[in-house]
Amino acid sequence: MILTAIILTGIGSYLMRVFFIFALARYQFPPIMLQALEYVAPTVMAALVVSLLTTPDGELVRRCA
Amino acid sequence: MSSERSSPVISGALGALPLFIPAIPFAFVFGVVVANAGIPEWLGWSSSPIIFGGAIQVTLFTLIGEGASVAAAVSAALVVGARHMLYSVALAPQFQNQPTWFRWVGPYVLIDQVFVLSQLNPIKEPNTFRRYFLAAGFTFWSLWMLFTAIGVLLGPAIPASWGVEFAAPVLFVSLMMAASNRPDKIGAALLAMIMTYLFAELPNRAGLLVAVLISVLIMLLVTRRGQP
Repeated sequence: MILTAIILTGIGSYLMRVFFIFALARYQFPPIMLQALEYVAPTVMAALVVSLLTTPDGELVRRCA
Repeated sequence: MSSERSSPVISGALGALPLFIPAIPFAFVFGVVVANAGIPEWLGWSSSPIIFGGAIQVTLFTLIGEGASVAAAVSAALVVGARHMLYSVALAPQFQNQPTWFRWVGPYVLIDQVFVLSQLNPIKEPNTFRRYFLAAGFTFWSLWMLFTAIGVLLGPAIPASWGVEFAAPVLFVSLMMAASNRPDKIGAALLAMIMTYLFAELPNRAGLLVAVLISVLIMLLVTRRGQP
């Protein structure tokens, strides 16, 4: 039961990481898109910091991004 | 980072080390969660090679420990991991002009830290990028395998006074600082913090996605004003 959950989560999280690598393999990114993508790393990390610290019940591990 | 002279493999592996340090307490948090869920150590640890994503693993076992169904635990863990789709989009340009095997293998080690490293000084040359990415990714992978093994064995023995529950915020603060290596990226990060706070009420981390999208759009409007 637990092993099934681990394997399903593993497949799902791998598919989320691999999907756009293949889906966008031939897409010609316009310059404005390339600039937008440069902001993904700092904005996602900043958003995670705030969402972790604003958990109402203070249950940090549970929501640990 | 990876200059022409230094090997991309060495700079990738060395770049990974400082970002792994904040992940060490998180490996102990993982061990505590596995123990609290009543899951055998080896079975808990097996999620490290199968899933390879600390937050996803912790969420899955937290919910299983609370008695959630497999479907509920898996879907909650995947919601937590949904941000990896953004990483997949952001890295798609650099995965063009790469061999097919790398497009399959690379995403397996695409975690927060490897994504941040790959974005610091985007490498244009495909061979250099591939070696750097794989070296950083599998350095993290090896360390995570080792430290989650230590975590499931020793984690339950860690006294609560050590405050390991702050492991996750500390980890993402260090990643945010590493990722903000240019003035406009610092601006983007500050905007995203404000927006996430404003949209914190939205359910299922939708607020996080909305905050990221709005911040990126504002940055584009501000930085491209007056340009053709």
